[in-house]
Amino acid sequence: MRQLIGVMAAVVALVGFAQEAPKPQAAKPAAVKPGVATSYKALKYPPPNQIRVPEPTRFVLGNGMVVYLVEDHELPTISVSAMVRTGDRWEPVEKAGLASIAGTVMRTGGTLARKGDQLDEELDRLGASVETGIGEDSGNASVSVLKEDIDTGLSILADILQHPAFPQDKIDLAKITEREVIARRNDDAGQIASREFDRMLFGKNSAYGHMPEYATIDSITQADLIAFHKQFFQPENIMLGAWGDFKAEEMRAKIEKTLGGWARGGQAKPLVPEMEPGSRKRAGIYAINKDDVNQSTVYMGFIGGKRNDPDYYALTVMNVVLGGGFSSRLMNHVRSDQGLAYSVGSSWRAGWDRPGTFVAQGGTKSETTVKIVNSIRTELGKMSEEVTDDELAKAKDAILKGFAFEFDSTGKIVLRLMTYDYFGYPSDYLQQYQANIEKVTKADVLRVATQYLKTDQLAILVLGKEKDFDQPLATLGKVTPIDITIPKPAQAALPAATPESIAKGKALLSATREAMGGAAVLKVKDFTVVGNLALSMPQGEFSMKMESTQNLGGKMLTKAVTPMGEMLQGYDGKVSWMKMGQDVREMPAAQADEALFRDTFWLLQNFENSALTVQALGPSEVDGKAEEGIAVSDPARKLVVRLYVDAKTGLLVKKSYTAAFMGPPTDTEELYSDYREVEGMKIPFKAVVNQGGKKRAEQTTTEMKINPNVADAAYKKP
Amino acid sequence: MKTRNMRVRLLAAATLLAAGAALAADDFKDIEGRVSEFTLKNGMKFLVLERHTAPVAAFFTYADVGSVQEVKGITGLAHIFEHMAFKGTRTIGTKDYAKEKVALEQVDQAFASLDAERLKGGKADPQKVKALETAFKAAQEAAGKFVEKNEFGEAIERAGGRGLNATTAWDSTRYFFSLPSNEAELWFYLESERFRDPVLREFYKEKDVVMEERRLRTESQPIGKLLEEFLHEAYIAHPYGEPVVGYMSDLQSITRADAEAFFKKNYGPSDLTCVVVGDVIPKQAREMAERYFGRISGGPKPAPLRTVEPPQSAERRVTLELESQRILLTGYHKPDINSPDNAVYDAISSLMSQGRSSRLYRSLVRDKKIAVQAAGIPGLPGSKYPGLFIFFSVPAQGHTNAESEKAIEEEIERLKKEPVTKEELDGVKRRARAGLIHGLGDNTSLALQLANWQVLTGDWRNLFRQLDKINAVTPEDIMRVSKAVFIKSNRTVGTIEPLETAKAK
Repeated sequence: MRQLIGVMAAVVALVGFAQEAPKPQAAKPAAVKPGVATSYKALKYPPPNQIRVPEPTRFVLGNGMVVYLVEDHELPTISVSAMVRTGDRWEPVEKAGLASIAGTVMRTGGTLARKGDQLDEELDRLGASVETGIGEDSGNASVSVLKEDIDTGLSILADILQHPAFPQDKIDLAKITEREVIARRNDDAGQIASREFDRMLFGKNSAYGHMPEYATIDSITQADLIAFHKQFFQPENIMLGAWGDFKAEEMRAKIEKTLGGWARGGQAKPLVPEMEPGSRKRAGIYAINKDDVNQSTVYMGFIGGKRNDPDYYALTVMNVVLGGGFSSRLMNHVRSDQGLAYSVGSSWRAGWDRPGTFVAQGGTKSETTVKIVNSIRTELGKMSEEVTDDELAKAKDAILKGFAFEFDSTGKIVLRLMTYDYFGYPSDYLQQYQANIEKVTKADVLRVATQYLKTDQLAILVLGKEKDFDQPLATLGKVTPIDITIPKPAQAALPAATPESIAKGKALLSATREAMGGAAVLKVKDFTVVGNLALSMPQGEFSMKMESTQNLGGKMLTKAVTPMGEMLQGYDGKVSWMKMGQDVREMPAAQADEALFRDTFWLLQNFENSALTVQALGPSEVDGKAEEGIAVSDPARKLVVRLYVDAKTGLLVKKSYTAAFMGPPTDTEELYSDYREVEGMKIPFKAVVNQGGKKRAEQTTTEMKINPNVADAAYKKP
Repeated sequence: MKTRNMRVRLLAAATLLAAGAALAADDFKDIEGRVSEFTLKNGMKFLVLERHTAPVAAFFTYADVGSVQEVKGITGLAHIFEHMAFKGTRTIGTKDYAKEKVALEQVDQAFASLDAERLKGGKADPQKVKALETAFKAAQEAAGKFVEKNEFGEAIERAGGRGLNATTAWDSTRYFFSLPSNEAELWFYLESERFRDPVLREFYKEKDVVMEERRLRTESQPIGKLLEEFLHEAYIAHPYGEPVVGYMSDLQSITRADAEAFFKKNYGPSDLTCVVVGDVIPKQAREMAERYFGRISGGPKPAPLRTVEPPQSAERRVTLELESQRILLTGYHKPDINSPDNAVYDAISSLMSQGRSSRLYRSLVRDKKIAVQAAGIPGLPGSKYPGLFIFFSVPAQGHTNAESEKAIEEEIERLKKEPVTKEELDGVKRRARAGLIHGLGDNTSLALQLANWQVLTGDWRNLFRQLDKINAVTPEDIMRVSKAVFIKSNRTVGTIEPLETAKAK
């Protein structure tokens, strides 16, 4: 999805977005020499023009909010950006996505006084923007306006920060997007590799490695969002910067007026979450197989360090030599010399307040996968052998000579100062950084390369089409596969049950029980269905004779005559098993357990049980017939099944649920027809199973035995 | 002083805006006044915009050549040349050019023999191919000994340069980076050298790199696959239908001689437009431009493209069944950037896609909840020749491409039938203006825009004039253009269907 947006954005972007720059200064005339230099090395440059660093005004409001102001009169625009001490690293792992949804809905949901849709229209009409978002370690709220709209922009910002409404409709809308991001997260190979590499290093359920799943998104409520906002959005947790075409004293008054009255929240400043204990011991080969790509993506690295580590500067220089630039060793040797990759490089990604990662990566055709792993690893190893004077000088020049670019926009300057302040770094950290880079020696680079780049202790992740690799990954070491299967998408979340919907749901199921046989239904203890099952498989249609017995106490036994021979499948309430010829194997019990929960007899006998929740879903249509929906859920076991009954006859028409059936868990539905009388009951003799919109199976019953009283021993694993 | 002037003018402009009046591009006169333009004797065009906010400058070269200049057999060549433009010259990137030259010729010969055998296909002798591969590899290694690796890029990095890169598209090839302003002469030197005297060393290695780029962006990416198939479907004659990155077989067989011929034909000085934005003095820039770029000689611009895409007479559809979630693209043929209606398409795009109050967001995302993103944009694959107005949607789980298609069509029908309200159209105009103003604060983005408008429309001032044109768009214009262009027989629809659902059909 992002890629598409990227492609489209590139096309749309006739007008780029940019920050303002400091006050203009006249350039000194450069000394111009006539004639063409014989080499670029012979060029003589005039001294650099002076960098004008604007002096920001910093003050603290009575409620603890820190404010930075910088005037910049080049363009008639004003930008405001607030950094809020919050982030998804502080959200509960079982509510992953909470911070992101909060960041979205603060803006889209509007405030108690102004609806989100109203804000959309007002801002779009002005060509202005107010946006909010929450990342790993901070939240952001920003305003970008033409200067005459600053009062509107600022008052919206202040209102959103203090009084977000979090209306249910916009929460639901944000959840649709979150679910879509989950559904699409395995579409792009590069995205998968980068994400899974980080999660593997940090720990997939850690503060830094967790990610939203359908279940975590479904569990997020309006109350969670309100509580999250209350916990983090308080003035003493916020730093606000404004730059643009204003007078500082006037802007100060505006900020005092809109945000000064916000009372302190008094919540403790959140502590930086600890790293997972094992995160520095992830050496090994990790594999993700993906059959629809012809290029492998390789990541290797380890947990690195922070920006205030003494070794940070030497490591930064080392990385520029290794893989940080256009003429780095990885570019020269892996790309230019060997033509192995288009994308190759490395980065020392230091964190501000927690260790970051070191990553070297490359993409190459499937047939040179192991080759590129070895090639990159060799370059990493060589870092500790030798660094030339020229390489050191080149790397330092590349970092230091571009210093002026740190000051080419006022926004960049203000945001940098705020970032230092936010993470507790000194305001002259940039100058210290420059000085420290300057001091790095060859010996420093060799020392940190030896200390950190241990080629036998790398975590190496390879994503690609394994069967086309030049050599099996096992030649690199013991391989740990990473499963990227997206956990089961629950069906659309159920609406909250109300006393009315519960009462109606129970009434509907009672009526269905009556329609299907009333007291006779309650007397069923076990039953056997004899019939035919036609399966639609990718290879074609398979038809088989089948006999399936179910004990409503929680046991199942199915006998099928397949083209490959007879197959038995059973579940005794504890062990689920399958027997084919002489081969007997155990199966996951959960599937059998879920199937028993969905059984019509069982549901009709048990829906009044207090452990279950029954709720009416409202009227709808199945094949043009009016029907009523009822959801039965078992919150303890996280099971849900939806029943749809004919509004006139009360008979069951359809069941829908999420289940695995020859593949990943998918939305599944069973359609019932051909109702016949059996021992005073109405039983459907035909059932069609659709999955993911496709017909998977059709069952036709030839005989239905009620209470055959099958012995318990028959359900046991042979 | 000039900057202050501009501020006053922009302020005045802003006041007018607040009063609700449409603004004229006259209000950008000050920034226009800071642009110097000149053309060298050899036909090379320059624009220089002074902006002294920081001691840096952005340098931008727009080569009026893209993949549309290719023909079958050499697809991907414009892009390969872009890569080769970083490989240096007779003096940059070599240890000994005289010897290297001989070695490079041997590589060419070795490749020619190998490729000739390979192209025999099933009749090729595997033993012979293997021997020729060995010889080719040896020749490359011999030539590689003379190479000073990536010296061109390294020279820029050592100077503290930032953002070194280039892009190739259907219409253009664009090269850019920024430098501290006191080192401006380095750009004049390097840029003039690479287009005066390029040496296409490491050519065959770089083709491997480009093939990896194709695997990365097209073959291993669902969206990349869809775009390639979609454009094939939308164009039957014009080269906008061919992929910029080229086909694998062409990439495999293209030779250094092909690239040199392509360069000679398409990279004459009159095909190049350079833009410098930042802390530079125009007089000095001009002097250096004459001194360095004045050395480039070349013939006239190549003959214009003959092929014009014939009118489409029936809807075309392409569906890819992939291990991916759904995507919908719909493209309608539209005129090029110099059409009098160009601003009308921009207004439609803004109305349909800009902001959360835009029509497609409201309908598909907010109200119907059938998509998570939807927009309509002009200008793909390019705008030099008649391109496409593309609508796209990223459907939400449980919702089909067909639902998005229907909802987009409903919005298109509205465009045809209901005149746009004054409020909506005012919003379009204000957003265009605000967007333009916000974009003035960044050297690289300014350089890019000036270059685009200069080359594509013949006058960089159209960057600002476009605002007048958007201000002149009427509700009737939008209805008229929509009725003429957004019709079924002028449409190509491309979709990705997830493999499972695709099978179900």
